[in-house]
Amino acid sequence: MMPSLPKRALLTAGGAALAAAAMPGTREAQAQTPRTALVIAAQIDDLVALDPHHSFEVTGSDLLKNVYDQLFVLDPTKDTAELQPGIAESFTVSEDGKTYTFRIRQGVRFHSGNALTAADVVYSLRRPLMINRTPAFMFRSVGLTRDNVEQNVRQTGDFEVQVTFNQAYAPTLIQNLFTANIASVLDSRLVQQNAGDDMGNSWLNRNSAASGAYRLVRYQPNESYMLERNDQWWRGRANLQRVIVRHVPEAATQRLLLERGDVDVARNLTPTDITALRGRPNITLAEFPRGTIQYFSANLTFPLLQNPKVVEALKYLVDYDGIANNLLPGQVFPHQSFIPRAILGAVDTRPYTYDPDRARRLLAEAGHANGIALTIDTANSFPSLDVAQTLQASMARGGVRLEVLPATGAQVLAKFRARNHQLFIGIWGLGYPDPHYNADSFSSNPPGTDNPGKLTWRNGWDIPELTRRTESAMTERDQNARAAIYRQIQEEFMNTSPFAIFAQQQVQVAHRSNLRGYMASSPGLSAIYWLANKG
Amino acid sequence: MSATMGGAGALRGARRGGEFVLQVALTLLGLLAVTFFIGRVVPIDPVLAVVGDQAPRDVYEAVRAELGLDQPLWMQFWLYVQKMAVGDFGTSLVTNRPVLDDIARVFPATLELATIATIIGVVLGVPMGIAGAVYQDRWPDQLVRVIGLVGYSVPIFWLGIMGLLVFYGILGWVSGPGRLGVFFEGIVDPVTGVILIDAAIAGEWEVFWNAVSHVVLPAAVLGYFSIAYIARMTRSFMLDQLSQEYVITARAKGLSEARIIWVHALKNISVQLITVIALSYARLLEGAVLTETVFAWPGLGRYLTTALLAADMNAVLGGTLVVGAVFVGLNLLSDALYKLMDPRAR
Repeated sequence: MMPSLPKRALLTAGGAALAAAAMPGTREAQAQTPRTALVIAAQIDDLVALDPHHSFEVTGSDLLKNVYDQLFVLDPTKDTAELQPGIAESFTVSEDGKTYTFRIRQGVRFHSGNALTAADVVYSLRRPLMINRTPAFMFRSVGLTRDNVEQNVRQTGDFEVQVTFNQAYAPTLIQNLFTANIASVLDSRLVQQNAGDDMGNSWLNRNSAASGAYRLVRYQPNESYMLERNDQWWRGRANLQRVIVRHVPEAATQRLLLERGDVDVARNLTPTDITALRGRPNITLAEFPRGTIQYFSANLTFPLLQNPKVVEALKYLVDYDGIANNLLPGQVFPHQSFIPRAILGAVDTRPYTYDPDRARRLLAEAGHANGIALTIDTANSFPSLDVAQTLQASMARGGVRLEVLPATGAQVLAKFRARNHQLFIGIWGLGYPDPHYNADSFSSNPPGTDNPGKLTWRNGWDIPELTRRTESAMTERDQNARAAIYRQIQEEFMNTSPFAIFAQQQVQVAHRSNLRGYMASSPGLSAIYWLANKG
Repeated sequence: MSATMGGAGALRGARRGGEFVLQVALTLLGLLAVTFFIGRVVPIDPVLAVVGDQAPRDVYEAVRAELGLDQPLWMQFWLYVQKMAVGDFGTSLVTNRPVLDDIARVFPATLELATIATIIGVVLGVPMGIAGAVYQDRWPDQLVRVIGLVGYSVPIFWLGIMGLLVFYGILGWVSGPGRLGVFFEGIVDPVTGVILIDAAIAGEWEVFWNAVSHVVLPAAVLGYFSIAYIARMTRSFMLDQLSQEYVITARAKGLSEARIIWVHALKNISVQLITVIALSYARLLEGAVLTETVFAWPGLGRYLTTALLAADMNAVLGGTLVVGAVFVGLNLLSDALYKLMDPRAR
């Protein structure tokens, strides 16, 4: 059962906010959220799973990273992804590079009061493969499978766990992977008490069994969730006692709530809202980079696009600066390679600019002096649809007549996965904060198999050599050498790939000015609540 | 057969009851079948909604089998109906919870909103329609017409946002979006799911008044659109009655105008009015997506829309069934009311 708060405590804790609206028609005092609580208005209806070994979207991660502890952490206070010990205090790697021995932190207690031991870690590392939900592929990508995980993840002491991988992977890759939600350590005794025949999967989608900064008190899908501070957290107590995130689907409504002071943070504002709030007293605007990139890609199985000059022309017909500064100001910044800024091996070079004349020349060289006509598939939602319309205008100036085909996200995706598109606008989120995650989809396409999960395959991009190099980067144990391989791959990618990456997203939020230290996004790819405080 | 007269009557009644139940069951089954097959031909892949875009093939296939999508279509439907017959509506892909639990949460929210909106619509719409008919082509009629016209032409989304801006943002007369202030959530245990009733049962009056101040504005916005419809229909029914001979006779006999209108004429249009009111109520009970979106109101409309966009068929079918049942129920109710009001219908 989920622990619940004493009901009356809620009423008294509210303080000033509760003096509000006792009767309809009475004027509310200028509302203030309590000093001990963080109240956030956000769109959370995409939150599917609360089981950390099942969850696979940012909204879920925002909750889970503040509730569960993982083996490693990326320091939220640093701009670049810096690894820190988490539940794993330290580790050693065997001579052959395949076996990792993790020392588990002692004295950690779960929210239930149970002590965290190596047994919990072993259970938690095996479980993702056993329940086999979407994130399980992350563990499979380093050679752990349902069949070998019993032997390959072993308890070797009360506070020691050994994991054996199928290759000598880069230690940074393993650590980065073990900062992800899939490496959350569960309270195995509590889960087993509540598990049905699904290792507690459905129970954990409604409850939590964690040791992190906050414990989950209440969750109503599509409505709200509430977290309560864990006073015994091993890192030390969080500043604010309670976090409430409420689902408010409409941006304009979020803005009103913020202006009235009924929430501390409005998480999904449009550029228009942001402009309107700029310079308001009591309201602060803040931006946080997130590991999501925006791109469009060309399907090389479509004859017209098989000429590299045509694809190159398209890359010169994107108004890179216009998109970043005028169309999506504050929501994105220009970025042209597939590894997001702040991640190991990222490159900041931007070889392409908007150059319609050059594009016309390239098209003429390719035998299309009179221009070409193409279709572009896009989800009928912000920002993809807006970008598609901008592309339509910018490409027209270079002789490319673009027809925009909007459909629901799910429909577009089905078409993309079936390779039935000509051009496709997409958004790609980093699943765990390591370059390999993106390289695996942008610069790897193992020959001879259908890989509908990979963007390379979906665009018919055949790259045996880059695939091999991407694999070698996975096993490069020297961090600097590893970064160098990725830089090389990206160089080639920008020159020859059927992808035009034009922006990296950032989260732009507006919050009340008395709130400090709140992070809407962090290098670890989630919001951080435990550093927030109110001045 | 030596059945007595009474027995024959009972038999006839039983047969009629049986026919009726069969009719309802067939109606709902037909509705389900149509929804089911439409849902299966839309080019949306429910598997992707579960596993995400980047899932490898084996996970994809496993989930596809788990959802029963590898079975032939008729088989899928048959399995679904079998489960449904024993009250298992399946699990929602989006919320990961039983669809019945979801609907038990979202439907009361819609019920609360629709009921209050309909009450507003009737209490204001009927007198306005009557006034429009009585003062035909004079200023009250013009005023009612303008109000009606605005109700028809202004997008509800805009009206909702403006209402929030003025009454919540600027004046602070009502509470903002949502059903309850965040600090009132979880105080009252749900019994009916309708917060107003649950809070009253529990005697939590602070929660009750907070809920009232949250529901007032969205209900008023929806109610306004009901007013427009109900007033227009009432006016035309009433005009029809006022030109009837019995009205002329009553006037000649010296009955007061008020009595003629509010007693005789109103009684005669009541049957038609009930149909109109029932229809507008049913429409509101389907959930009002835009209003629910603006006011962050967790109702049936948004639940169904979210489910549709994710191809969450269990949720769509469950929601559709609820909407179907609402229509059937309201039809029954208005039939029963006809019989009360109109002796000819007995």
